[in-house]
Amino acid sequence: MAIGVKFEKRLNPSAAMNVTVPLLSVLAALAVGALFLLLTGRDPVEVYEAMFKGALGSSYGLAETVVKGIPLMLCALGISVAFRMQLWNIGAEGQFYMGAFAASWLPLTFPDLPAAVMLPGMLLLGCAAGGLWGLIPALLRARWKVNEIITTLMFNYVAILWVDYLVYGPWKDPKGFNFPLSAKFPAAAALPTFGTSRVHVGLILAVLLAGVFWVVFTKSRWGYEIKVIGSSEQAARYAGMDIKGNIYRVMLLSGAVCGLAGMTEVSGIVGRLQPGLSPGYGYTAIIVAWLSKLHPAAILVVAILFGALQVGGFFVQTMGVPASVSAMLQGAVLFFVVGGEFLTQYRIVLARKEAA
Amino acid sequence: MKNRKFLIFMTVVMALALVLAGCGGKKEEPKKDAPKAAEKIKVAFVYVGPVGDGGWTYAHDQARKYLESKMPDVQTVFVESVPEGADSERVITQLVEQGAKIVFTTSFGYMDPTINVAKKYPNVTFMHCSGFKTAPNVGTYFGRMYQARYLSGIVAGKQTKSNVIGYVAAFPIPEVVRGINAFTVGVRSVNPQAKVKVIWTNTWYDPAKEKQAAMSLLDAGADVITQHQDTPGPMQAAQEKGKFGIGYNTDMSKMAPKAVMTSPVWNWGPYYVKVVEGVKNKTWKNEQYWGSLKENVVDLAPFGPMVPEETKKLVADAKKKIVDGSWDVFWGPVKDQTGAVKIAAGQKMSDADMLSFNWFVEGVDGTISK
Amino acid sequence: MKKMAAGGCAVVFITHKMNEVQEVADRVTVLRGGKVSGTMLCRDVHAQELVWLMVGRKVSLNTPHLAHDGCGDEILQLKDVTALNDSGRPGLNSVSLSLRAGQIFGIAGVAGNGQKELAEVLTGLRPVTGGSVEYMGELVTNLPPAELIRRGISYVPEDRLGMGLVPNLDAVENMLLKSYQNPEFSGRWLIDRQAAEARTAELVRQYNVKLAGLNQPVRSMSGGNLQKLLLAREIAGQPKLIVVVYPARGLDVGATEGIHNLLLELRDRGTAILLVSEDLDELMKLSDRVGVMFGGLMAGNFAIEEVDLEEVGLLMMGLFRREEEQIHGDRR
Repeated sequence: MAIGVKFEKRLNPSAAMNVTVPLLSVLAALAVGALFLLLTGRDPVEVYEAMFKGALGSSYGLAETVVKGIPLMLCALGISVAFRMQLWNIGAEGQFYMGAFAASWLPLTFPDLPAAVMLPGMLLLGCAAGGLWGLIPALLRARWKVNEIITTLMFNYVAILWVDYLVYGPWKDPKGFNFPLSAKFPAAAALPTFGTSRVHVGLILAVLLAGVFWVVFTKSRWGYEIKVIGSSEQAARYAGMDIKGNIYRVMLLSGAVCGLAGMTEVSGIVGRLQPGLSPGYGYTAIIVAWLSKLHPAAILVVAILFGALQVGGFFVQTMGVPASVSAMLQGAVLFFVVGGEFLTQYRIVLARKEAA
Repeated sequence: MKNRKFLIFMTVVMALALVLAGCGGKKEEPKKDAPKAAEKIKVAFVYVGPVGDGGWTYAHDQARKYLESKMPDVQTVFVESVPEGADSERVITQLVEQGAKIVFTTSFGYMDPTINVAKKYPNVTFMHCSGFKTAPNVGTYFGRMYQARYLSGIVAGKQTKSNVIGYVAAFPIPEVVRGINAFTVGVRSVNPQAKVKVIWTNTWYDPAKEKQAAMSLLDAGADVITQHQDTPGPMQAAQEKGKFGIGYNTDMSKMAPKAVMTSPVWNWGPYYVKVVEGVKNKTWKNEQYWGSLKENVVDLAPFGPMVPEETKKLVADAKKKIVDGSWDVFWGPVKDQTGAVKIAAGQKMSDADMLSFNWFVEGVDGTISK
Repeated sequence: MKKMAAGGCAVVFITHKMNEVQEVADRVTVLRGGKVSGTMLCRDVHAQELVWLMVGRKVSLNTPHLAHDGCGDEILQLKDVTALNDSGRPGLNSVSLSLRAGQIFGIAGVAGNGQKELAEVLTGLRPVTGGSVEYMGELVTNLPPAELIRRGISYVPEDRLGMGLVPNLDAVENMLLKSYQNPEFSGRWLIDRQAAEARTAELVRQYNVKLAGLNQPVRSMSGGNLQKLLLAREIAGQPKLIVVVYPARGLDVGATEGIHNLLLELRDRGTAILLVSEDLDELMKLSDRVGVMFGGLMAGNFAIEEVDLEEVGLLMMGLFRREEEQIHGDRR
């Protein structure tokens, strides 16, 4: 006799589970993290408190958490469009960089434009470049069935290296002592911020987009097509939907929103093009989108939580908690939430198997 | 199902325990804080890598510990692995908000954020390592590592049999280019036939990639490997292949004792003490400090047993000349890769030119992307 | 196979090709509807006898077919239509047929002989590589599916959950599958969920579909109710032509009966119906004409009054009456 473990898909996960399981998962993660902290000789309460304080407990921390959340929100929103159609756009990172690159072109080439021209121009350029960067894998996928996971992933490296090339080469600031930085943007190219904080209008863009996406996803004809194609391509074909056209449109939009994230980051935060603009926003956003079940409002919240987790992670370092431990805490939260998510979708069945 | 229920039950119990513990902890908090408030100067460090990188960040962290040991009235705090993008500005701000009076930001990418935060906190002193922007309360500091590089080049030039020396380099920025050039000048001062072959990794901290780059240089015939990287990966590669290496940042002989002949090292400790004392005594000025062999900010780590006496003597002689100021590495004549004389005999390269070095000297086998 | 048998190996060989049976088997068992309908030694057997066992002796007796002569204008005409199957080999081979309003054209045949390709050609899902399709007097060869839907061609596919219906979507969304762009249910951009819900509720009532709720994913519904919902949607579009593939497969007697009545009603309202089925009982009961498909060919085409079940059975096996003698003669 052998015991086999099977995962059975639940037909209809209950609404209560959808809420309680993620909450319990976070608590479980914190519990495991606490154990770990105790083992390494630290007071978990103190650490958690500091984490919370650093990320959410002060207006500055809160603002910084939002700053960190904005690119995550935008990238996750972009990703969610594609994921809804089961197009696995892993290329948010590259689309982010391409958006940042194209948006940077305007202030570097025409530094004297007024803000009223500069900012909309940068926005359009950023969206266009990100969109095109998403469109190429879409073409490959629709025309020749090239797997978009591979192409979008590869395109990330191309985009990052392209930006590296620019800042090490032609776009290098002539006054920058040969350091890999573009010239600083003029003031007209900086997104307005709220008060003295670094929170820029990218936040408003993200919230507006989330609202628009919610309407598109749940109410619109196009959203319906995306849903059907994502659920069953065969049925969509049967219903006479234009699948290729939708692959183009969806990837264009997905990339454009990720490109917008890149634009808001160079314009609102960094103020110049430089390597290492994104510490992996495009990848973290995949997790954000997925944990939010692709729901636009949930994406806003989860992005903020992820921002908080990272801001708090750095903050607790000042208490002598090494970066690796705070990374471990973040990992534990992720692991439990994803695991809990799995348990809401599936249940474990222990089955006895006859030994062969 | 039973198992599941049990799991959930356990989770709830643990969570509750945590919440309860949390309530208890909060009450204690104020008491704990009170005695801490003794008059210590809080000095903060922002690191780009983990303190255990065995390289750049490790060297800074050693200096931080040195500072703490030398100045009992100083309390230090650090944040490691801080990305150079949007995060650094927040980390610096939060350190200041937590009471740091002096902040050392130890990577080039922290330049703009350091300046930005400094504007908001005019009463805090900021020291940015390796940059070029200063402000009334921001100074920069760096070291003439090229001098130590030159000395290590002498060691490499005497040791190589194949006359090919591999150089694993991070990014084509002036600091790295300067190091490669100084090293090459050192090599060719004792071995005019030798070439220095450069591979760019485009990373400061990636043990696997750096090691891989060293391996490919070894495969291409190099028998001495040196590096401008933050991990000992290249040294381990040299040891595995039974070849020699010259480390960087800190004494890397512990990581690869059979290979490492010496390492040009950073020695920030005394300088950090000087800065903090300066701030304390209100004598600090927003200078652009470029410490040299003479001030001992840069140096060579002790030689390994494979280094012959003759070499040691050559190095000692050269060091003496540099320290007493009678000679420096980029004093003419210096030729570029094409053989054209860039610095005529009798000329000295200015600090400004050295800080924006973007060409290779004769003897370097590699290119700088432009 | 014979070598294996000679080497002492017992071989079970499953096929629907009569000549293969004749060639290799020693003993033959006929399965029909999940039951063994007969077992005999191969040398004793007549092909005819096997066919009877396969199609069932009492086929047309239980429901005497009423002559139906409400046929109207020609709705569909196929001329020498050729198409490839999924693996890129010829799947439809020069098929011609004609279908009138108010007529049920039954397609008999063992699955995989071109029925799926035929249905998909008619609904625009598979490109036609030769010949022409005429619908309502117009050439519609290779028009896109959306256009054919717009012109009134409905399709109840074999794969009801996955193609005909989307498992993850609720009943309302499934009802909208082909009509989400109709002004009745949507404006320029947005879908009018309320109107769609009302219409779905109406259909559900009218066709007596049992479901947990309009907002529940349809994947949990039973096969019969899925098929009713699917048919309801396809009929609701008031099609001129409906292609129905294996409508009663996997359903119980009651559900089957319900579906059949729906089809007959539809016929009486003047819809042209192309009915693909493996079940001869079903075909005999519903069809006005019966065609037999084998190897991508339309191997036979009879008015219902002229149908000789034995012949249909033989055609399904790929045997023509003329050849039958040879096979018998061939027997060793």
